Amino acid sequence: MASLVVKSDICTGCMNCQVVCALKRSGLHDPEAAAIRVNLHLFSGNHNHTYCRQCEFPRCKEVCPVDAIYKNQTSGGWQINENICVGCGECIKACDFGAMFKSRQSVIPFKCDLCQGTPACVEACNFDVITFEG
Amino acid sequence: MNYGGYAGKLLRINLTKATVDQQDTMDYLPDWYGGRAMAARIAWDEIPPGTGAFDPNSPLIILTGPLTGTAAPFSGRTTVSGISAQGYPVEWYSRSSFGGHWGPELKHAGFDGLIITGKASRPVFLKIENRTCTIQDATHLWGMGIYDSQKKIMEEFGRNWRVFSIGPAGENKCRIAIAATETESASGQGGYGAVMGSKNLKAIAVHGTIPLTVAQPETFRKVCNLIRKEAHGSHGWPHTPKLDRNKVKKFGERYQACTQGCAVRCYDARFYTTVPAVLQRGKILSGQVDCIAGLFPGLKGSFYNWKLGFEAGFEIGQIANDLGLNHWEILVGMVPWIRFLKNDGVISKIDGMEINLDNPEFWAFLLRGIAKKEGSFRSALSEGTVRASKILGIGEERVKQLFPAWGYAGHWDGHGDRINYVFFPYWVVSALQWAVDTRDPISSAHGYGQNIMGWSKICSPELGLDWNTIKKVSAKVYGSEKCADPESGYTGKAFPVWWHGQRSVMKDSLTVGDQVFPRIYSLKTEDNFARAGNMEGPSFERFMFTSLTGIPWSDNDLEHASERVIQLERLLLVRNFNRSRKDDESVIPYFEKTEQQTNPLIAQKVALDAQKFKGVMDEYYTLRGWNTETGKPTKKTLKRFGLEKEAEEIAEKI
Repeated sequence: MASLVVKSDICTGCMNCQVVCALKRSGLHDPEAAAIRVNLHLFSGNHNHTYCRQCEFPRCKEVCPVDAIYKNQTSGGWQINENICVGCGECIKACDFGAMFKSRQSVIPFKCDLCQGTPACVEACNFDVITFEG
Repeated sequence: MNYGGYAGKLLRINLTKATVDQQDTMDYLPDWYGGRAMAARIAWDEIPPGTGAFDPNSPLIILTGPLTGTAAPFSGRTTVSGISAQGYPVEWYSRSSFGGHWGPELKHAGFDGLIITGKASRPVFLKIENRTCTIQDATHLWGMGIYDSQKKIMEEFGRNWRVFSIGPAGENKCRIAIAATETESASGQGGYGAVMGSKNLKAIAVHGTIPLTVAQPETFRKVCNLIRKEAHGSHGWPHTPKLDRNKVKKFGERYQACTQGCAVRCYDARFYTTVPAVLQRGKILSGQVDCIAGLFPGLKGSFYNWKLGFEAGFEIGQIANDLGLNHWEILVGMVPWIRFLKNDGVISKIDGMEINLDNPEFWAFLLRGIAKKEGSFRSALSEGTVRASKILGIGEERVKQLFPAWGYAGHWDGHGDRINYVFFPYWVVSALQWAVDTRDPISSAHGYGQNIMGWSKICSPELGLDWNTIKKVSAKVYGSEKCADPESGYTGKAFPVWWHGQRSVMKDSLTVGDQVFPRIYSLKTEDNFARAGNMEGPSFERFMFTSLTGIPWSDNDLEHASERVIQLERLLLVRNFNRSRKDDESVIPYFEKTEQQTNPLIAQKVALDAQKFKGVMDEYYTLRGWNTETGKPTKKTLKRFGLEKEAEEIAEKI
């Protein structure tokens, strides 16, 4: 299964991954458009990340009433078919990792789509905190 | 908003009247393009002569820049400007800056910055969220340390809030008081924490989710990626440091960005998660250690060889942060001064306590007393070492050894501070930078002295460049090999001060990190000149600026706008403080002392030759278009920068 691998324990908290992800996805610097989010813990230093784990048996897919979540053959990750999705939000509630996000512009949620196999967050991280295993 | 990157609004807060107004950022764009540049315009318009740091109407100007919080690497910084409480011999207009995540959060809350005037009738803090700002009661926060006040606000509003606050030192108007965010990111120099305290302003809490637009999103992302990948190791130098295995195991040492967007691992930015307290027994401490704070434990074999040990040194550093005291003043100015006075037999105790720098109890007693103005000696120290020496009537000669000018301790100048390695002729540039500034000029000096030393084999023995390469690469920037030639003496030293002057303004206005920009040297190109894609290193900032904002400036346009800031700042100093060449020359005696380190190519220690230095000053004034006798901008120069009206206003002074 293609997936991001995130080593939160060596994250410096620079936020580049989140900022660049949002920029690529929306063309904006929009904290709510990022599909990977850095949860900074400024006083303990123990930051962690919210991102799609590309589960083998994804809960989001399981609960989807219209079967809108499918495997993208190019990236190898799970993706939402926006033509089918009805925006019920069940997948947002079901994801154990909080990695299915509400969108500002539409009722259709969004998630990490692995940027079609070349994730922008991986490119943005200078420290190999985030790697892509295809 | 016509341009990308900006939030579009500025907050104007009058604490006396308890009013909050909004102004369009566009009023200042594009000429005064952010941060320090915008602050200079505001200061000229709104700070009349005679305004002191603690006058209620003295504005505290806190501004981000267009790049702040964007995908631009090293771009998390915020600039603080206004009349400086630390400034000496007079409180005058100056600046400071800080990193962390506060500036980006402010922009997502809808604001590029704040201009705060007045004085609240009781302690208050500002709550800023998604285009709203309210003045809130801070009585329950007053007296708290910087950490507790942040935590208290975050407990109430949420973990995603960012808080910029002062500690007891700021509340008590200690002239070396900082304002800070997180555990180490501070507006350290300038005493702006005291200015906040004088306004009864405890903290500024921000949170926002508003998107910022980008003029050319795909170009901007690609430009930023290329520049981020070009970044080298610590400080942008050739190599990356390693973590200390022992400290990783014992104290959870890890790298942590000291500013959002940082893309290097630094010698000087480490986070510790589990440090057992020495003074507060039983407590486990965590926090960041940046830059000069690494000196708290003491540095064996150096001038700073007190023996606190890591745990106690870490704890003292955190105490200083929490109280809100300026590390740079304490570690390379005040404490060495105290030690000199003890060794000279001038003093043995401070307010009844034996001076013992190996004893953490003494440090805690010293710092708490300064922040809270306890005891006559520590109350004097709360005014900063230079003023304390006058108040107490002791140690003036030692002050002259440690403090080049303007109330600030030595910094990358080869004389005062003895941890930064810079030798003749490179500190001639530092001396001139000190001469024409209002504070320690380090936001310029990192780009020259630190950069050359860091890229040389002196500081980077394995990967550093040889002198010949450094000369050749720097000639692409400065126009002559003499400007960075280790054997060039006083020749070619004015131009780097002129050039880095503009670069300093750019860094504080866009904003990007001073340690890394401007990019000059590289290990990733054949000729060792920094490049990324088709961009040359010195143009990196401009490429990011234009693709983000859509302002179609050339390198020359950005440089011209940045030099305009220097002209207006100088004019403000002339108008409000009668600044002249005579003031600039006051730094000379400090540099006439013999340097601390030795240039191996000269093999002997050197002191400043005042006559030759005055020649370099002449060159600099000529480059700037300032009168070489008075050091004031000429009318012709001011016209070139579109500042005719300003020139007219103070015609009799120039």
